[in-house]
Amino acid sequence: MRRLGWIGLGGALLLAALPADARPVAPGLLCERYPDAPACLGGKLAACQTCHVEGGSTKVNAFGSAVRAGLLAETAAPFDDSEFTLHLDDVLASIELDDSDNDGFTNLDELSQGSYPGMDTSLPSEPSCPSDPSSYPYTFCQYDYDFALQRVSIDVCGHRATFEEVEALMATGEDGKRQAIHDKLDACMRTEFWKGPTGQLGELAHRKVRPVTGLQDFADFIPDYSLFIHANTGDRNVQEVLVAQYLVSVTITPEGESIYSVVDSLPEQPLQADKRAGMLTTPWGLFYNTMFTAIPRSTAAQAYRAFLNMDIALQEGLIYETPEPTDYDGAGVTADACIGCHRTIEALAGPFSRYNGLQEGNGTTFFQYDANRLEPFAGLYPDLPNMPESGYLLGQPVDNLLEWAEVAANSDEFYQAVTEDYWKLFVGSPPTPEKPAAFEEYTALWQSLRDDDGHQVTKMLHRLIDTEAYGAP
Amino acid sequence: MHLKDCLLLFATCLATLGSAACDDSSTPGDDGGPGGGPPDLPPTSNDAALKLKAGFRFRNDVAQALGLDETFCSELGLADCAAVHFIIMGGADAFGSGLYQPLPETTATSPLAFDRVAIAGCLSRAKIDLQSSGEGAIFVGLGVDEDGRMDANSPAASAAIERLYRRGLARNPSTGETEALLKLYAAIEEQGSEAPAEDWATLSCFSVLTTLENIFY
Repeated sequence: MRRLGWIGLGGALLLAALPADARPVAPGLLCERYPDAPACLGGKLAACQTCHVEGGSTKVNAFGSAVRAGLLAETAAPFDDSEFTLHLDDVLASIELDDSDNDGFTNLDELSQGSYPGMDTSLPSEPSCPSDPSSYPYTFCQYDYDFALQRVSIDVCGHRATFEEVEALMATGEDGKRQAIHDKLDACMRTEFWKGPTGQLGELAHRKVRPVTGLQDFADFIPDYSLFIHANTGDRNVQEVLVAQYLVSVTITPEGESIYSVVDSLPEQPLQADKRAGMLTTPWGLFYNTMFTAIPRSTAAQAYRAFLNMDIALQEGLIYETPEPTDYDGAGVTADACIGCHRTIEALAGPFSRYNGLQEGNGTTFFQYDANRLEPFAGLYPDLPNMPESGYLLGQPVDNLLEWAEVAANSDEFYQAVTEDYWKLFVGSPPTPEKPAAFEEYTALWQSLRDDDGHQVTKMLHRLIDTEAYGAP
Repeated sequence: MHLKDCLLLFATCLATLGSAACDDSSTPGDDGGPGGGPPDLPPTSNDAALKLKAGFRFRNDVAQALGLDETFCSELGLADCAAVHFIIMGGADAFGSGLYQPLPETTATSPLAFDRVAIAGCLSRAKIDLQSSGEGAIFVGLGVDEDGRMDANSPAASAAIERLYRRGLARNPSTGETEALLKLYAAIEEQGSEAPAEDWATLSCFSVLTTLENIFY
């Protein structure tokens, strides 16, 4: 699978003069040449900024310009995949000792140490640590228990630890300190600040649910939040966000505590239980994303963005190992200018195509599954009923949305996305290869979530607060 | 004179506290460098990963520090200040504004909102501690006379500062920090405050709770 997970080098080089159906292969080629580069850790591919001025931009930076110049010396633009594959390695080698962005570091040094070789504000950094960290209020460059306790308390409980808690922490031994911080995390994760419908987990869900309060009468989004919070707490498996065939209700006790309960049915949640796929098939999602459309491309793209962190609008997650799409609704998706993205979108959308938005017919209602859902559109688009329910996700064929959800929930991209959400909340910024040590910790973290049989966020968070990225000032 | 004049005094207060706010007795160079030069600066964090106490976190901390209910600050008596200013205090507002994620940076009015919440809490705490006969939390036993004055050199004043730091920043104040707040009382009296002890309590509280140390973590 060649995937432009984070649009990268190739896009920069190709898009300068090139057909929109260009097939950027350069990020993978760059990582083949520099497999130990921080940007290539954990199976990731080089990021946009390696060659672009920013993610999603077609404009190249100084390093991208140098690569392009090197390729032009070998072959004429526009470059195709075979030309990239043939020449890119040599071109990269030829500019390794150059300093394309004039920041004082060679391109090779920058790639090896995680900074961007075409961005003069991005520099390899050596930690500067005091020789005796203990003489300062915080133990710089080392895990600081007081600092970590306060961070856990403020992040998850919503307020700082008290003076008495800090005193008690400092009075205990090394193991006791660590245990106290983990105990604090456990206690805080039971607070409403964390798990309440409008708490921190609810805030994490906003970008996935995209609620619109004025439209709540059409379809309720509270069950979406409830399922998300349920699957992200306790000993639950976070995959349930995508694959649960149950619903979750929330009730608030007189004391103000939210209680999440698994239920078989809820009012105004009409989807057949055996067709449910977690948050992918909720009435709110189908209402807001599918609405009246025949081919629910927006629904599929939103699922891809929300749960796998790949935004097709930013040319992220484009997959080229799928069959040529068919233009079932005459939307022009096979045109040269469109197929670059629509090859992926059409493959993603098929499995969503049998779920009603604001349609009903064939004995089904709004927000239900209808195997023959596309037939009524035949008057407008004669070929549309022939569109298969099957499709592709991340290069894998799937027969329906349940398989789509299963593939997604087992993908590295899902665990990276889940972990990145929490990383940003806890550490305060996205993981980036520019900070190689922290990026290694992030990589180990999402891999541990993937490899943990229970795929529990709770366990992952206990590991997260042990990282130096979190606990070292 | 009350808050209006006190806010004028705050400039004086800031000048007095400026260096003391980051001072700590355990920091090398506390008493100045060799030959009386400026103190050593603490090292800079490699990650510079300080976070803003976004959303309700700052309000919650002020409430906890001052022993107040979380409803201590209300705009027009109608709505929680932190809820009204939620976005500029670093929160997201998906349901009201369709803002699914917090703004990437603070806004020009963010400091005003943090100040607003802190001053509301400090006014309440000072009033409760100095005007009511109930049990105080921080500014207790100051021996305020009928002119609203107190003895800033009394152990009670230093004890109040210690309680303020412990409750607000979860640590003890340094010698420099204590001295700076005690000097603040003299400045308030010089400005002709009608209730200098209460104004001192309010502004001491405000000074500590609006330090970078309490707004970031």
